Amino acid sequence: MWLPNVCVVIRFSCQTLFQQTGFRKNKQILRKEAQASGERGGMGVMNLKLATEISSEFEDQPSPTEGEKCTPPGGVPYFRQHSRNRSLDSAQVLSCFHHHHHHHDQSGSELGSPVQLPLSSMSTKSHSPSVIVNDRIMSMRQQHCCLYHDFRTVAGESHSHDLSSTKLKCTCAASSDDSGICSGASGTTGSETDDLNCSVACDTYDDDDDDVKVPDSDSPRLSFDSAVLTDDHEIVDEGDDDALETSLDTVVLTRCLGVHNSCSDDDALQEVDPEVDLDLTLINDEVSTPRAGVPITTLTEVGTTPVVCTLGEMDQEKDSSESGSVTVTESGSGDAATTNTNVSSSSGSVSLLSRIRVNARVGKSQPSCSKNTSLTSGNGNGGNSASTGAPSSGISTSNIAAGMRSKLRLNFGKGKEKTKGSTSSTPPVVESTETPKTPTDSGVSKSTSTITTTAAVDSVAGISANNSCNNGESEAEKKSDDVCDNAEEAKTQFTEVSKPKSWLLRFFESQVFNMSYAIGYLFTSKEPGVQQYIVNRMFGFPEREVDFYLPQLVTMYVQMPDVAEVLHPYLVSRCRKSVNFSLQCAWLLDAYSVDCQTQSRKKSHGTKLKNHILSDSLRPKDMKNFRKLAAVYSPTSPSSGPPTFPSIPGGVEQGTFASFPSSSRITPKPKTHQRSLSDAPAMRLGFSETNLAGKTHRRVASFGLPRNCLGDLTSGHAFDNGCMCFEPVFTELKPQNEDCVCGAERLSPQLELMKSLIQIGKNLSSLLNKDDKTPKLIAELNLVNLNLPARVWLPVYGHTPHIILRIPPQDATVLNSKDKTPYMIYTEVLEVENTQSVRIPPKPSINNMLRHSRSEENLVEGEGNPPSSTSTREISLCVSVESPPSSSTSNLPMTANSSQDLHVGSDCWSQEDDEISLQYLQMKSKRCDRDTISQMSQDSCDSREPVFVSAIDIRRRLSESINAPKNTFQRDPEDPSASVLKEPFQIKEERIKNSSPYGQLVGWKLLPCIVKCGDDLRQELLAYQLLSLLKDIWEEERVPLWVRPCRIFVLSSDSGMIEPAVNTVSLHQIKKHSKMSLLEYFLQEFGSEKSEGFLTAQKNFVESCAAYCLICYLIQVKDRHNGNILLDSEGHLIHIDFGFILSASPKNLGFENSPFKLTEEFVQVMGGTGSDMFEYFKILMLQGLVASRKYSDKIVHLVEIMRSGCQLPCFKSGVSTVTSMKSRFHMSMTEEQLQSLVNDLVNQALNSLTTTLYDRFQYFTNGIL
Amino acid sequence: MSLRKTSTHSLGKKQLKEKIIQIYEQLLQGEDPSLSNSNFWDEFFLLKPKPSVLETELSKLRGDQLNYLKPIIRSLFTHCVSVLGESNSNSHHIKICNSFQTMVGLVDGVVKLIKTEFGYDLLDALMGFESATRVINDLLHNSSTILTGEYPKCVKQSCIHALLMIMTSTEIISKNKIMEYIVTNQTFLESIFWLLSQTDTRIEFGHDCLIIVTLLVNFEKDRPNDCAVRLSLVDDHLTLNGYSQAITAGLSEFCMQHTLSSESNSGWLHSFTSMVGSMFITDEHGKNESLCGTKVGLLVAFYEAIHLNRNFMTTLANTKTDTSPCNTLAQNVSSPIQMPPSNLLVTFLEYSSIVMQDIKTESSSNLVKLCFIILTCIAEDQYANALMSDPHLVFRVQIHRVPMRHRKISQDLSPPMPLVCALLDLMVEFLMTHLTKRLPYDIYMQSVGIIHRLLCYQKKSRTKISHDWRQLWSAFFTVLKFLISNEASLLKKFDIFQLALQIVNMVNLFITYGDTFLLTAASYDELYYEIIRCQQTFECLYSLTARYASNSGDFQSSASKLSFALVNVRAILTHFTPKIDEFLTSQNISTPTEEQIIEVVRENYESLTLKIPDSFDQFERFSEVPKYSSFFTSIIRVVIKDTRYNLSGKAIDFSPILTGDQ
Repeated sequence: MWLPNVCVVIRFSCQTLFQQTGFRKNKQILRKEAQASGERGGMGVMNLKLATEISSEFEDQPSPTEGEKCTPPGGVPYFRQHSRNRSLDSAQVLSCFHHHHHHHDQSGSELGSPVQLPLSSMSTKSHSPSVIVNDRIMSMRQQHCCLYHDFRTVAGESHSHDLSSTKLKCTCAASSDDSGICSGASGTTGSETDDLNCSVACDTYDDDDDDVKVPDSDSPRLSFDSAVLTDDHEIVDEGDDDALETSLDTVVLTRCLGVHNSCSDDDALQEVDPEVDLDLTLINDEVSTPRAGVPITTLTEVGTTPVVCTLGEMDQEKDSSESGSVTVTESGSGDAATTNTNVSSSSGSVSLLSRIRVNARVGKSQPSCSKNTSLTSGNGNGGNSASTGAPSSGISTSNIAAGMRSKLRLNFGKGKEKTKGSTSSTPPVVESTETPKTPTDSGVSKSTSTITTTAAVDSVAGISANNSCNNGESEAEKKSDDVCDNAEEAKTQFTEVSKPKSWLLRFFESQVFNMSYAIGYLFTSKEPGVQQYIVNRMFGFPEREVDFYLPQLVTMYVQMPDVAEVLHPYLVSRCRKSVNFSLQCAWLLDAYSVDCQTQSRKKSHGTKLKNHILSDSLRPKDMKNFRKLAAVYSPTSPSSGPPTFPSIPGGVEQGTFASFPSSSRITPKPKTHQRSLSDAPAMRLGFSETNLAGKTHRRVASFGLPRNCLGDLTSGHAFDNGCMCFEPVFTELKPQNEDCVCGAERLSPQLELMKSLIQIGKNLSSLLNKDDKTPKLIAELNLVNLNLPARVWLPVYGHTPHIILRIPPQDATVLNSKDKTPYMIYTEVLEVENTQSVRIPPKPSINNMLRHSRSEENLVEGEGNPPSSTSTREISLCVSVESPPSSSTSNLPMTANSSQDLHVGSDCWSQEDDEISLQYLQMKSKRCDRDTISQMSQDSCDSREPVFVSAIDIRRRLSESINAPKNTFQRDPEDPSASVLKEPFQIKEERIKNSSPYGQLVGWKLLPCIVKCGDDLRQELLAYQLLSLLKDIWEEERVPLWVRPCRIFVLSSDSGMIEPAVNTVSLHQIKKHSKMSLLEYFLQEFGSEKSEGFLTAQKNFVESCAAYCLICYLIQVKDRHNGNILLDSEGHLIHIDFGFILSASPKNLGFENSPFKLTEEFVQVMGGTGSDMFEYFKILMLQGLVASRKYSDKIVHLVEIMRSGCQLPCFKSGVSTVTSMKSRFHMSMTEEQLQSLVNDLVNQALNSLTTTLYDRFQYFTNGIL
Repeated sequence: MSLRKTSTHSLGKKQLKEKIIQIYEQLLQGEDPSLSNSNFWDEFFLLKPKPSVLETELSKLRGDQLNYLKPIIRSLFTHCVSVLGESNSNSHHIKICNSFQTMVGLVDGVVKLIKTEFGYDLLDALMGFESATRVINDLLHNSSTILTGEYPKCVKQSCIHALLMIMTSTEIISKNKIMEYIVTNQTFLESIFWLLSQTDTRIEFGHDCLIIVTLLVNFEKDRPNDCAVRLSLVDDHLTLNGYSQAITAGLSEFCMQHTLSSESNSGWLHSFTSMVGSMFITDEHGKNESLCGTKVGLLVAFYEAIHLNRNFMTTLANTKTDTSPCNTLAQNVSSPIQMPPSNLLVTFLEYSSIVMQDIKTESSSNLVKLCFIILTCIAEDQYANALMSDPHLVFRVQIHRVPMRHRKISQDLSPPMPLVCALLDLMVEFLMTHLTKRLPYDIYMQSVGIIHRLLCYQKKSRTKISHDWRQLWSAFFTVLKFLISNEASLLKKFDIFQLALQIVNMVNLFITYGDTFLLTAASYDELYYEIIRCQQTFECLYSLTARYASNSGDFQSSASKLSFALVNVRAILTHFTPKIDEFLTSQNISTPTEEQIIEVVRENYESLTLKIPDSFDQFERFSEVPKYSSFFTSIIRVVIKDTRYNLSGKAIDFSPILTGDQ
């Protein structure tokens, strides 16, 4: 029964869905809709949607009929056409096979066995898979496993079943033979807290020859639809998903039917209708499941016909969050034709949110009945407009936001824009469409009334499109009637259509298709359609996932013009959304396009884009768009609760954007200098009120010269772009999450910060004397600090939004390096929700800082060395019987003294001194309470009885304090970083937090960061990616290998930032400072050989060592001297410095020809060659290798793409770099062979002479132990 | 008559020059030219003024004439002020400059006049009591506008110049009645702070601004002073930083000059003498009083800031950024890249090390005294101490040393170290180099007090700095030795027991609380070794105290205190000496090595009981009043003198506005 056809599954799932959602009885409706959309289908032939689903819906008897249906003619030609593209098909097979498997799994069978069966059956049935290369299948199997895992994790337990339908929602696809693939994709709607970031795109394609076209299967057209399908949905709410899916499917169905009926003779064939997808999504959004959330009935009027529509709500929390974020977007591109409507309505506890995306191609108005507002956004280009009615049940407010995002589609859609004259609302059209519709709708609405509305909307759109563009709608209507009548026929045709889906497409549309594959296909595929599709898909991927591959994307952008063309809109749209992304993009472009620039005079497109970004012109186009985006990428809305701006009273009919309270938003703000605000002298109560008033006023008036100090570090406002949109004064006037509206440069502050940090590095390098570097660094950072806090952040940690508060200078350190001067800073940051809109905390008055230090005086007594402090305190307590405790006694007279001194009034201290002296007094009393012994001794002291202390005690304490285990190495002027690095991060963080004036802010955090200039970090970046990938793979495969990829941020081809691994010291430093072997160090740090601590550390060591050995082998990491190998506080080994990987090695001396560095010392820590841990080490390596082998494609892709740039030294041996890397995965080996391979490698490494030789060499040349 | 004719025709230029003088004469004869010419004042301020002529003309007057001329003088002054406010006229800038210069001449002349003719008040003469508030507030308001507005450099410069001249017009600042108005003016100080906070204006006017602040703060110090209050409350980072940087710039300029002069002259001694020569310029101001070129004004400003404003401590380690001497000295200075980063404290320590090389004259010893007062304030402050002791904040401080017979000067740069180490080094350097017959007792007390404060902080906060304490100990013992050997002559002048007591107290600190701030046990051993090595000294000291404590002289109490404080040292000596002797005889060694002694010490700590003396780790906090108030009064006098001297020698280049405006 394992039919290759997806239909089974689809049907099955569909059915369940329908059962659940109670749609079952709506066949009729569906049919009607199909009919209705049939007309439109006439012109939108391409958009065939998941026909399978409908078939399944219509079938009461699942499998047998299915079987029949699946075999029909469509399949064969389809596969024939596509068999030429083997890889694609194989992918397709994979996806299909995955579905099967998944399905099967649910019924309880185990993983391995069923896999082959469907595969083979499939390959026999369809022609293409037979050509699939053997290893291809192999790898696919592996991939499958991972995908399987993926899927399992994604799907919630209870809903996994339903989700399978999600999986299968690869849509039917038809591809035309001669013109390649045309793809239409509707992006996804993330229905998470960030509401819609969906990009709906539909690529249209023209079939040139109508003659050739045979209905349906013979001239299959390809349209991908992945509409609503994203991880987000699954994660957020399954119920929602189902609903969306269902609706989606139905609509698709209708459309398909329409296609079947009318495509052959319809002129509209030429016209590809991109909006179908859009409509589709609209429907998705609008329709909701009754079972999830609270169903609310709303009345929507389409034209004149009232239709009952149920808006479902997903879950409560989401509602609240979403209702808060109402966004209005109008895509500014001018040619945009889509409107994303975001409707959110809240009713009491439940608020509804439905997202409506309407194709604006066809003017369409949908006035909504009760309170709804319909928005019309006219767009510049073709006079396309969309208006969407947002139905909301009788609830107080309904905020409707219509956003448009259709750049993609319009950029690439070849569909001739029939500029429909009908702009905002086209009542006549609506009217006309209603005629065929009304009966259907009304009939249906009585029974269940769910999809109807949407369908109606859809059909309206379709018809109106038809109306305005080509053939008279009469014909269309006729067609629809036909469809109505011949439901059966539609059914059959439908299944036929479902058959010829491209495996590739199905794979693409499947859930398993992720960024990793996308990158791969983007790189390998030469088909513009495929590329286009992938890019469209990327809009739907989680941004973080995409960001991981940004270096690859940028490289392709720079190196491959065709990819660049399709990538461009994606990058641009992301840039528009996020400043961080813009900068990252610009820096990467800068870094990777260096060579291009030198080659030709003409600016490469990479440089162009970079300049474009840096010119800061890529910002959200207008206010509404702005608004929407702000809400999209800041998940801040939950906190804001109710709609952020004043509720719109009543129904704003045909509300144009002007009706929004934009007037309050765009409050023109006086552009005074910020200083005037921050200077508010809170503590200047020292003199009279009038003084105060007069002075502040004066300041603003005459000294507050507005001037742009960007980049001038001495100004104190070097990173201040003068934007005051988030100052409290102004935030009162506008909603919380409002974006900056003053148009200040968004990128400059950050650019300036990076510039100054890099400049510091350069300045340091110019100092010849090593001793001078640290003071210089401190000095420079002091200067930078003057300009903080500001709206700047560390790009290495760009994924967690934050702003920099301060860079404590004394904790910065210059790192060991021969000629370059990398340095490490610890940065105090404030974690925020959105970097761009958070209010910069005011600079604390210095007084705060001082007071802090003053209050610290109390503590400082015992604080010297945190771990040893307790002991010393104890000692001092013991001693205090005979001797007055050092500070308490001495303190008291002193404080008395000082406060008395203050009261004398001889100096000009003002009232704040009283506070301070008060503090002193409190401290005094506190101390007395706390420490009665000292009180006693103090008394005794006062009574002048001689107090004695033994000299030997003093000396003993001294020697104890020396020998006490310390957190830090002694400060060594030769190597200032050692002591800084050794201090445990938590303790350091605590210490800095306590001494920081910002320490009490909520969200305060300390982030370490290494700034490197003069070094090319691009290779490090690649290494980071590889490491992260391997890490993920091993996690996926449950291999307990431990890797710590250090995040890299490339600023240019010779500078960048590194996220250091905290709590680490290099082996070199260990050897140098503790002067013992590694094992001895382990014993010292973690305890004796049998202790828990040691064993844990040993395990950590083995797991990390195995991981890095494997990594070193796979990507041939060289230059492995002890300065480049770190040990963290848990015993993990961490390799850093991937300056020599793949085909590069230092000086190419031929040292280090062992596969990886495994010294006798390492093995000692593991317990010797024969020990269990050593065996475990080898097993881990084997497992790791096996696991990474499965995913070798991913890994190789990553490297291969970077090679296309060919700028990195690691690719200097050219193509062979990649092939030899591939070979290191030993794909052909059996597990036994692998095992012996690992053994060989380990032995080879262990016995390698070159390793020791290289260590010697490093010792002699660089003094590295 | 014929002369005039020729001059009008052929020597027009010459006549123009004279015109202003003619007008001066005319005015001083009691005529009011504005009566005949309504545009007179407009034209008057377009003429280039001759302040010196005006001043001489005025000072030639007699007392009765002054009475008669009062309306004219007042009207002249009022017009000077009001012309500052006319911002619409096209030659505004020139007028402003001229007005300021006229004002200077006028004020100076009147001051000279009333100095001879008692019974007249400056304020009354210039503007009359009743309108004084209005006029001066106008003046200050306009000045603030000019200083903070978009005016050419030379306009601002002339403004500051004039204000400084006015402020320093009397030798004793408290006698200057105009100051009273300036001090209480709300905006003026703010605009000065603003000038300091801006990089470009700070480079230009930083020094002058600080002098202004100094003068303002020191006006009638015994009474509540508005400016002092406001200075104490400044908490703006930029202002404080600017203030600090302006000081740094001035001091480093001095250091730079010193280095240059010492480099240009081969040989240290030569350079030293020439430096001293150039440092204390002796001219008619001279008589060992002037401290021209030593930036004494900046020092006072520094002192005031550090004494009054606790926020200022945060800027001590802030790096000097813009006002490197390259900007002020212009040429032949090494590029900033090679200059090690410096900050206020670093520069100040270097500066101190230079000025304390010579304290022969009273003025120079005053300078050192002032430096040490500042250091005392710093050493008392917790924040500053924490800053200085931070092991990560290391700086390279160049401490200039005088070559002496018994030591060679090594030109090597010292490694960067925490600032507290540099400060200790500086103090050691001072202690070791000024043991002369004319012992500067006060400064010694200050210096020892500074060390004491540092040690107390370290003890209290358990800060362990890595520092070679042996130098400090040996300095202590050297001083003690010196005191003992010169006991007879010194005691005539000072209470040497006080000084010795301070030192012994610190030794006690090391002995009894060494565990809290010494880094290693070995250094504790070394302390014992050093004490044992100086056995002789301590025994002499003890017998000395015994002598004075027994006979009831002036020094009885301090001597007995000292003898009490010596108890621990004596305990150590009595404890270890027999042990060491025993060891030496047993090993049959006559001259034991250090290691051997230390070995003995190490083994015999047991049974040594130390007594903790009371209140040896406390110090009297610094307070200006009453101890130092007269000192500061005299310093301010010097500042005023020097400032006037400098200003009179300084010419403002007006060419930009002359060419630019016309």
